[in-house]
Parts: sequence; C-alpha cells; structure tokens
Amino acid sequence: MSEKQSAAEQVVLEVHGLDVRYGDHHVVKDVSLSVRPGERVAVVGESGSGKSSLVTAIAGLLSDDVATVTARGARLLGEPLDLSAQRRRVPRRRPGVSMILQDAMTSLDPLWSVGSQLVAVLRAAQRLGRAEAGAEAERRLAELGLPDPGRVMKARPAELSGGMRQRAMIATALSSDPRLLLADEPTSALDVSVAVATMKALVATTDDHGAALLLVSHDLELCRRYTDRLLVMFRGELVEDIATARLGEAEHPYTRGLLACVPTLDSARADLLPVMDESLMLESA
Amino acid sequence: MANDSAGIQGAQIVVDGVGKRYGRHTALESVTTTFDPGQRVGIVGESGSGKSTLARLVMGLERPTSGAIVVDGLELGQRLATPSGRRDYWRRVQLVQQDTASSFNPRFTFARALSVPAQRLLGLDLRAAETEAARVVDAVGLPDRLLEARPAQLSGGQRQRMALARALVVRPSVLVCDEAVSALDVSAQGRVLNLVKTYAVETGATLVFISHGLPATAFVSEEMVVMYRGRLVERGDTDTLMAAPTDDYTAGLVASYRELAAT
Repeated sequence: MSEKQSAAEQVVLEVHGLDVRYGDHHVVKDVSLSVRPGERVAVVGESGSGKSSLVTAIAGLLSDDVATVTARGARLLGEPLDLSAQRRRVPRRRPGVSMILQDAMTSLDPLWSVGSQLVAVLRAAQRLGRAEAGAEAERRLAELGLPDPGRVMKARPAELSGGMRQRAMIATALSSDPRLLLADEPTSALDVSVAVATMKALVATTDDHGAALLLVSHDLELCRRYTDRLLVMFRGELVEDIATARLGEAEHPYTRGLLACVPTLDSARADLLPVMDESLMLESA
Repeated sequence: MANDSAGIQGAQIVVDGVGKRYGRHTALESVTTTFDPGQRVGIVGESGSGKSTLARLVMGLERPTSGAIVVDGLELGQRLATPSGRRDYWRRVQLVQQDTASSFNPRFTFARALSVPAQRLLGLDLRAAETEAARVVDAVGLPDRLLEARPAQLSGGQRQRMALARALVVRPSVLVCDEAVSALDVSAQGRVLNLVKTYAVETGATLVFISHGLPATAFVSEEMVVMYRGRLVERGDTDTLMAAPTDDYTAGLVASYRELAAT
C-alpha cells in the first residue's frame, strides 16, 4: 500500500480553517473538521448558522461571483483539495464525492424517467453497457427499499412521492460508488414516518457501499439517532465536535440549549416548553 | 393577556360529513367532528392528508363539495353571505398560516397591518387600534420598534410572531393555526408554541392547531384528530391517543417518534 493510499484510509476528508463570505457577510468562520472512512457525521444548527454554506463550499458548489471561500488547507482522499470558490459554468466534480439536496425535484430532470437518469449516471460512472446498467439501476433501487423498482424506473420524478424521489436520488448519488456522500437536509421535506424510513435506507446503503456521510440537518433527534458524531454550528462557528453517544456531556451553552428545547413526546405534557436563552438565539429578539 | 377574556365570545363549530373535491381529486372525504368553545384540538397528518383543506373550509375561505359546516347553529355559507356576517365571523375566528411572507402586504408597516383589522373588526379609532397593536406585539415578545418595520425586514421567526400578533389583535374566540411553527427553528418554535397555548388557556379561546409534527401538536392540545388521505381516522384525548392509538397509521406515527427519542 502506498503512502498516499494509507493516508486516505485514515481520513476521507480533512478541512483546516475554512472561511466563507458572501460580500461582507462572514457566514463560516475558521472551521476545521475531518471525516473518517465510513463515518457518519452530522452538521447541525439553525437557519443562518452557516451549516449549508460549509457543506456547499466543501462540495465545490459556490462560485466566486457570490462567495469568497478560503481555507488554510484541505485534503480529500489523501489528495490536496482546493476549496477556493472559482468561476465556472458547470460545478467542478470532486472525484469520490457525491451530494444530495433537500428536494430531489431540484436535482432530477423533470422530463426524463428516473430510470433513464440513473442508467445514464451508472453508464458514465461504472462503464456499463445499456442492458447491464438497466439491471444494476433496478438492483440499486431495490436495495434502497423501493417496493416496485420496475415502476419507479419508468416514472418521471413528479409521478413519485417525495420519499421515493429522495431514494431514487440517493441511488443516483451512490452510483459512482463515492467514498463520501454529502447530504444537505435530505429528509427535511418529508413527513416524519417517511423521513425516518428514508434516513434508515440512506444509512444502510452508505454503510453497504462503505461511503462516509457528511449530513447537514436542523433535525437534532434524527441526527442523534443515525449519526456517529455531531458538529454543532452557531453564528458561523463550529462550537462543538462531539460523539453522538456522548451528547449528554456537551459543553457549549448553545448545544445544551438546543438539546433542551427540542420538543419530544414527553416534554409535550409540560405546561410550557423550555425555550432558548435570547442571547443564544440567531435572530435578534 | 388575561384581560382579553372580556372580548371572548365562544363559538361551536360542527363539521358535518364534509367532503371537498378539486376536479377528480378528493382532498377531504366525509369528515365529521366538532370544535367546542374553549377546546384545544390538534390535527395531525402527513402532507396531502387534508388538514389544510379542513382549515380553509372552517375559515370559510372555500366551500365544501358535500356536507356542511355549522357555526352556532347556522350554516357557514349563510353566515358569510352578508358583510356584517363576514365581519363578525372573521373577528371571532382567526387563521395563522405557515407562509407569513405571503400573508402580509409587503408595502405596509406592521403598525398598519395590525391596526387596520383592529379598526375594521373591533370598531376602534386609529389611536386605540395602534395602542392595541402595540399591546399584542409586546405580548408576543417582540420589541415596539418592529411596528415600523415591513415584512422583508424581519426574520422568519419574528414574522411568524407578528402573524400571531395580527391574529390576536382582534381577540379571536377561535384561533386556527395551520403549520404555524413548521418553518421555524426549534429555538423559535418553543416561544410561539408557548404563546399560542397560553392565549387559549388564559382567554378560554378555542384552538385548532394543525401540524405534521406530533410533539408540538401534543403540547398545545387536549384532544387530537388524526387525518390520513382525506379521512379523519381517529380522534381522542391527547394522552390516551399517544399511549394507545387504535388506528394503524396513528400507531406508526407515534412509533416513529418513540423510536427517534429512544437514544
């Protein structure tokens, strides 16, 4: 095993001192993080905390006419990674990385059947023939727990439910067998029972494919259940980097406040819900 | 908000076999239920289950295709047939929706957006209406200066509290909330939920609280209605319904939350 490969085995992604600015608006401040192979990491925080900008910058989806991205250093699969935003018509692909967004509708072409889109990506990524790719596409949709993959293949995105569409998107994102899957609020547009099922499918499939997951979500309960480590963002800063199992020991007041004010079926029986200290809220009172 | 109770006049809303079709699509199918004065009722269900359609029908913004909504013994369509009937109903029954950006006129300051309904529906003069506007803005925990702001200048959480303030300025006896906290961050959600529940408890107003989120709905409500694919599948006391749901869909929903919490 070469030195380069062994470095890649220890960390999939490493980012040091990342800053993102939109004009004068400094949204991600000096954030460093790493993701190990097969690890599931969640970036949690509220609207405006910078969590989406962080992951979008890592994905290389911010162009320099809207954002300034700088980093002290970054490595992806052992190779140096240039995170600075650049002007380009088509976002630059990062080898070994795929991304899914909140609403699959914005990622899939509405005029093409789901199957034809998945087959196209599979053929490009895996160098498969048309028939082989068709069979592989159906197998991958079945793997995500879609009940009738043949029907899903023929359907256009609008003909599927949100949960089915998101699973088709996960299958597409995993078709290049990435080592890292970035996901920006993948279940936020879904109803809770569908969100839980979709998250289970996402977690099981990334595990089977040996892909690490870097997930952005505002849903603390869902992340707590399905990820190994939580990165808590607050006003552009990474204030907590903690193993999910040790979340009870969180030290930052914002993390503790967030944990306290998530309504659960049990807190639901209280007269009043605990609320976040005003000084820790993102919006001014 | 205790002195609001002076203005509260209860209303009994009977939903009797109500159906609603849009072309060939059936949004609501033969729903029968009652909202009694002072009751806090939560309505849960996934998107497309008919919750919002039911809210719009109760508000009189749409007419049922079949069945009837009867308020204090008079069918809602008849009640809303005259200008005075409409004014009376919409003073007593107020709606807070999810998308507050589109429910305010973008050109009006909040002072105007709140004092106009107070003038028209409560018959107050401008000065008294502005005093009322300031009172409810304070009650929902927003600073006075935001009365001079326009919708685009506020964050989502602030605007949601402002929408609640506008509903409360006419001291409604029925408050209908349709996904009123769904777009908010958890830290802002708790505040709005506390306000909604406190208003209903302190004034004795009826609360119809619609949401796809079970914990939030359970928090504000004494009774819960579960909707699934246009039908009312279950209604019961909130504690009982969560402890022992009788419908399969409800059981699955409760189990999803229990599973998330079991960490």
